[in-house]
Amino acid sequence: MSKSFPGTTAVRDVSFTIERGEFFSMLGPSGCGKTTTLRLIAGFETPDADGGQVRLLGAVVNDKRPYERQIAMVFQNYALFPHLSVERNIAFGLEQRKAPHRVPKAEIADRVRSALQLVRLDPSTFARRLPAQLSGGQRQRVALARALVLEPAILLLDEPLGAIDLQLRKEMQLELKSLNKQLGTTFVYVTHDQEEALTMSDRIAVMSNARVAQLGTPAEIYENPRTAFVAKFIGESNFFDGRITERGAPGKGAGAWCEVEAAAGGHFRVPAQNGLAPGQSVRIAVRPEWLDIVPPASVPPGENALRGSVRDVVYLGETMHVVVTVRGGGDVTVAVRNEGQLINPLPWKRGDDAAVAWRPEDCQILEDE
Amino acid sequence: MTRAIPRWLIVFTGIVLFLMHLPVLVLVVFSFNSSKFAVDWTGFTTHWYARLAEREDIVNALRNSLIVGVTATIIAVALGTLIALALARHRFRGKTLYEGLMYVPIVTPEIVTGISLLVMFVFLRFPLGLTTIVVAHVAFSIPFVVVVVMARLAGMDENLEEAAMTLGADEITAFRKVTIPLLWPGIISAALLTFILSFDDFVITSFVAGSGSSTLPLVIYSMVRRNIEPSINAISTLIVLATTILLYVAEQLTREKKAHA
Amino acid sequence: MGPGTLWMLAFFAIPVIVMCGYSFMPRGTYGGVDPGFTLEAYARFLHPVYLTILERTFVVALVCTVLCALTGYPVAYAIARSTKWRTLLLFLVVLPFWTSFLVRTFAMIFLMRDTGLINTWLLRLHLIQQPLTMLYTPFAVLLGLVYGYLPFMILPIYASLEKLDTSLLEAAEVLGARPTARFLRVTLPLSTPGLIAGSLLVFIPSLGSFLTSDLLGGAKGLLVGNLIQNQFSTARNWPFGSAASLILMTLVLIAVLIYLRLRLRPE
Repeated sequence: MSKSFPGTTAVRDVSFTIERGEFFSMLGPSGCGKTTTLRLIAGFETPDADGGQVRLLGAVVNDKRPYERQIAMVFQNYALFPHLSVERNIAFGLEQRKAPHRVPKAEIADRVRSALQLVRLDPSTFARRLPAQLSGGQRQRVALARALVLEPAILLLDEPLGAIDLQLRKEMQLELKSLNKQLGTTFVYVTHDQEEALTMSDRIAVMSNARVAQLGTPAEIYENPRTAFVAKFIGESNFFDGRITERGAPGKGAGAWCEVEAAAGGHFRVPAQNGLAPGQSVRIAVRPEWLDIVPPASVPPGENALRGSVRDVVYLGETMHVVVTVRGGGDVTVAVRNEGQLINPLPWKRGDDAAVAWRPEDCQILEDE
Repeated sequence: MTRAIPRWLIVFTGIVLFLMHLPVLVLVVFSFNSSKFAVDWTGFTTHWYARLAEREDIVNALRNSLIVGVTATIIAVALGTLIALALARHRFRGKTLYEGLMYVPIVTPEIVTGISLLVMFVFLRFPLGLTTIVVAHVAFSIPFVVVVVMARLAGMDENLEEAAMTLGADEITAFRKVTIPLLWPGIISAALLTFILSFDDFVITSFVAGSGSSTLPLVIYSMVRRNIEPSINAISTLIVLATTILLYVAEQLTREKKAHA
Repeated sequence: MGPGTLWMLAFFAIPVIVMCGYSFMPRGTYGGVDPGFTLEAYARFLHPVYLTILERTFVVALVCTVLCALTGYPVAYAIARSTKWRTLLLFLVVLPFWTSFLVRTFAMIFLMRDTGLINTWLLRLHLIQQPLTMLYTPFAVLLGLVYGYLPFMILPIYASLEKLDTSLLEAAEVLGARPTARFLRVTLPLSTPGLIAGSLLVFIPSLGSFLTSDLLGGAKGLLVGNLIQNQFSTARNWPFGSAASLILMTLVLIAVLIYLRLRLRPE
């Protein structure tokens, strides 16, 4: 689909298929088009005239209004009706059903109660309260209950956990994930928090500048980022520029490879991508946790390496970051697991000579954006 | 604010506020004075109030003021709310210009508005009377209603109508069940204030009323010009009382209302 | 949006246009206008008598605005700083705002006329021998205007002050600023938008004021508003009245434009 507003293209040729029951996330920085895409799915926006289609459950729904689509939505700021109590909020959708789908009052009351229990709010305490009397986390659950009570085929969630503090957020992420599996409802989730997306999703569409930069499972996105943007946005990455000097055929146990001469000096062997030929300039990404820091003379055979000296050692709790200034300029960050600095400290300190090394298959050549 | 307010400031404020209300308070007190001419207090009486009821011109004028007030309020609030909704919800070309133009009637001196309407009515040979008064009152009230309702809309979460739509309500139902209940106090408040504006209006009304019809402010004006007597105090007191009550109600409504479950 | 816009067009825009037209037409014998085109009405305005009136109106409006600002700012400040009494105080300011202007002006007459309350008491206390002439003087008009429009000044300033971020004052204090300095260099500049808005809300109606000068000013204190009204009653010079109205309106629009300029200038 494509969608433009006066002065800007919000969504450009975005295309994907979401499986039934999947937890699908759209991840990206503000302005990347993820919310607009969600609103296109919801029906609050329509694609441009020649800008593609939205198909829900097999049918084209471009000209169907949100209330004609089989969706329910949880908004970023919850959008609870301030003038209605919790139970009236949740009952709202059920009350809109007209004959022949009319829901009798008794059933509404039952389903409201179940919905509250589903989101782990005690009906007897919360049913009569007003949204203004609830905490952020409670409001979020009510918003969720209000959507789920309708047993929608598709649930859209627009950064629902943004305003909630860290501890509660982590709890709710797991709850959402479990609800997805328990109910079999398709979840379409929008967020700018990459950790959140990695935690909950079956697949992630990483978006930037109105396009999908990469679509894949969390593992694919994290371990094989395709562009510099994805490599930077998800987790951390070190980048090296270079030129391809040689391209080699698959050998035993390994796929096709390339030799790259780094701009900063040194040669690397990296997995080849299609369409790359000697002479081409490329950018390579390696994640800090796949780098090892070793004494210059102890680089394991077959690994790529760069020589340099330690600039900084940063304590991060779970990991230690060793920042190495490599020959040719530039800093490389190596992540080492923290085995306890009090009992088993890292042997590295500022000024030490070191080499950073990694296995060829732990890096990627990035596509141009 | 943690620090106390300087003593002199409190005194100053007290004095100013007192002086702001003193003239009217004096007016009210002396409406009960049984002496007709002197400003001496000769005794408590409600005689002047009774006299008001006897005066046919006042009773007629009061009736006209009420008719005009209610009619103008209903029309102005209806039209103004529609405009406010359109401005708050939709983008369209020339919107900023339109919004700016909305403020022009508010800053235009009443004299100019009154004169221009008089001139136009005469030009069209339209007879001056209650209708022209209503028309004029609606004209100066609409921008005001727009401003008040828009302020209320701005405070309202725009996702609420969308949320209602994801729950199966179509646009009209969403409007009915979500927007209106939330907007209602603002609308009533705007209505009360519009009524006050209309009821109290003198300048514009004096130009477009023509010779036949009279509203309360017009009658009061001629009473003030001609012949000062405590009846004026009495009717003034009643007006102030009515204004205070309406204002209080409007104020209560604009505060975050308790919703019904 | 249609009906409302239509109404405004029909009953606000068009009348002004018609009035515009009238201002260019020759004066009719019995009032109203005769067909034709003439600049006679505008030319007439250039007569010293009328220019004096314009000047007087302008000065009165200006003085009124300044007085309101000087009196109103402290009050707004006090209300913004108050906690317990704030709602009540605001109500006390808002109430005169909404009370009939006519009633309030009459209240001034009641107090100030020769047989009014003030004179009666001053005489009684033997502070004066003769009644003070307060009514029908420029002083009365000014007082009436200030009394009338003071709430219009207080409320915008209050709104501006209320939005003031107290952490700014705390930051200033930490940087060594004493109370006066904090007020002059933080509070006052940041409340300027409110001050300007309030000034506009006082200045403009004062320019076009009619009732106050009519009831409190007498024949000598004629302001533009009275002049205009005159043309449509006793003087029967509709084109002249229309022209004067348009001139007044232009002055108002200039004031508004200046205001917008000031508002939109980056702080």
